[in-house]
Amino acid sequence: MRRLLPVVGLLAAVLAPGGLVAQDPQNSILQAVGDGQSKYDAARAEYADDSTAVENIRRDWNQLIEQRVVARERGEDDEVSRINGDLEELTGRITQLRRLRDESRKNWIDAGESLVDLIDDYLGILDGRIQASPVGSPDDEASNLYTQYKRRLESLERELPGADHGDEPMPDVTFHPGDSPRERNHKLTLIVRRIREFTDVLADVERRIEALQKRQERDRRRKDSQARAGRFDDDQTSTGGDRTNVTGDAGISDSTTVQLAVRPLEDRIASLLEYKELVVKYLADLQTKHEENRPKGGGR
Amino acid sequence: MMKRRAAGPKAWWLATVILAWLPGGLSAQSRVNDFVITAGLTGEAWWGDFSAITVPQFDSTRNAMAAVGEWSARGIFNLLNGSGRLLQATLDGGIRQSAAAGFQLRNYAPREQSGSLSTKYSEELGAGTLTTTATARSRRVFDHPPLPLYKTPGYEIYSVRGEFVKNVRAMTYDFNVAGERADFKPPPGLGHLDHLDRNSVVFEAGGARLFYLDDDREYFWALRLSGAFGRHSYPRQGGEVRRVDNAMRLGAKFDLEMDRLDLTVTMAGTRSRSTSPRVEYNHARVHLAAAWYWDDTHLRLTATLARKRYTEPTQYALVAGEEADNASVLDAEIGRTLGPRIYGGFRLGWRNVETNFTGAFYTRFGGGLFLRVRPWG
Repeated sequence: MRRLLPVVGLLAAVLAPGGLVAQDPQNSILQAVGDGQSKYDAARAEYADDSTAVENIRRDWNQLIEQRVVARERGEDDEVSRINGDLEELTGRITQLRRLRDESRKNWIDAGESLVDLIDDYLGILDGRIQASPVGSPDDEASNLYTQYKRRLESLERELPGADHGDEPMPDVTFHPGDSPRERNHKLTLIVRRIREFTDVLADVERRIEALQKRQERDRRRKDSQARAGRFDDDQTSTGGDRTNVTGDAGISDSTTVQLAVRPLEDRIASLLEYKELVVKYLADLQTKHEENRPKGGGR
Repeated sequence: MMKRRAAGPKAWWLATVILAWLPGGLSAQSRVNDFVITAGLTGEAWWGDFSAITVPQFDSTRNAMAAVGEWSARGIFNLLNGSGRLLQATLDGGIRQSAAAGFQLRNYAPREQSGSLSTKYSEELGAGTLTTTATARSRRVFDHPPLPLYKTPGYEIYSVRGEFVKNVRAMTYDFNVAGERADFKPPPGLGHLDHLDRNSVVFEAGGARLFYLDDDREYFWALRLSGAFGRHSYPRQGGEVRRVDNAMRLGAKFDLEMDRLDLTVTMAGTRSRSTSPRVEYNHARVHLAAAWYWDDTHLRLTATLARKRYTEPTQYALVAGEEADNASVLDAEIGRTLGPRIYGGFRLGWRNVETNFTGAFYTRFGGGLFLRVRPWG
């Protein structure tokens, strides 16, 4: 037993947290600032990646809208249907990517605020050193570090995004104060065209939602009938065979309740409703913009 | 030896706990995936000379009639839904009261109570979707009537199932493992129904291919092929050698979904071998379900054909719970939307069940009205 004591002591020393060893507070806070900076850089890079992904998908979405306009003008109904499907899929991805982007933005802000606090603490220590240095013999190192970290703090506060974070759902037509009347007119024409196109898209989405809701109702009726048969064992034929209902409806359908590679109706309806919301918002924005920039006294 | 009778359906205790835990209860519409209340009234005629070990009451009549009323409710609740995860509870309960006439001994008034609670957890993993399901199911029959008015005996069934599904383009591959325990609940003095108690383990794998019929990818047909192995043990059957059945099953399912038509055809063949040679058989079943839809109306037809052949053709014995050899079932339902959340219709059903070696059979013919109400959504 006694022989074990030194070993235990050695292990305890090796495993002991750093707290047991006295640390210089300045080094310790500097280390924390370094760690905080690494976390901040990683969070910021992640946000940048996620933002790029959102921008890319918004660009794809806009391209599809343009392709839809062309296909519609050429009377290519099959192509319009295909693009509608792609737009629906993209909507789900946009929502997902936006959530990721918002989450990484929050992480970025959190990491930034932590870093601000740490730098602030470090500046406090440096300030203490500067104040404590004898008159006529200033602590140049502390002064330089103070200036350096003060600048870092200011740039950090500028980098961090504000609380308000609203972005247009889709790429937009932007008016600038210096636009010539011709440019304004061109942009207004573009807006009117987009309003027409999105009104068409909206009608299409509403039609598809209605169709899917009808299918959901059909699905429910089918499940109602199946549930009724199973509830009182009316689906049992007492001939044996498949004796368990472990894989679904006993007796009648054996083990064939596994979902096919078809997206559940509920998910599709939810996704289309989200898509509709996006289109409605975009339409409203376009209409507002059109109202605001339309020449007073009539015109386009 | 008689088993101690369960105090009540445990599923309902669990149901109460789930509902109590459900934030906002039933009022939280977003959590109520579906909730439907059904009422029905049916007239039935039964005839035949079938006998079943599971129906120990006897009466010399060959014809019986029954008026049947039923109430049931089914609710599907999303306890968690998002980020690729779904936790769902399904509660189903019903009561069916019959008033029978035509028996020699007395007029029976069988009442069936059924309840089930199923919880499903599903998560999308990188490689596919994993789903686990646990189900508790209870059935009680009071004043069990003699044949030919056939009622399955009461039981409690507990099952768990794990399923992994992987979609690769239009193909779906699935792997399942499931366990089930069936505990039959005999009324006092009829302890031999305990012989039906069963423990099962089933492994299954399947593959399905989907073919779209239109550019919008709304309508499709699909074919699924599957194979399964099931081990069913009957702890109260057999003497020195307990009855254990090993069953291999091959199945195919065809699905068609079109603008106004749904069609499903299921076929399954089972080869069941046992430690008890007298219950070795081959079994085949074909099931068809077709539904036509108009705006507010639907017509649904279902048909089932089941055939069983013992490997020993000279065998003259009834196997408890599997007394029949052949079964034919035909049901038709026509329904219509009566209001925003009300649906009603008429149903007709016919079934014929028989044995090969004695020619004994029972036939049921019935028809009636039903009404379904969805209070939410």
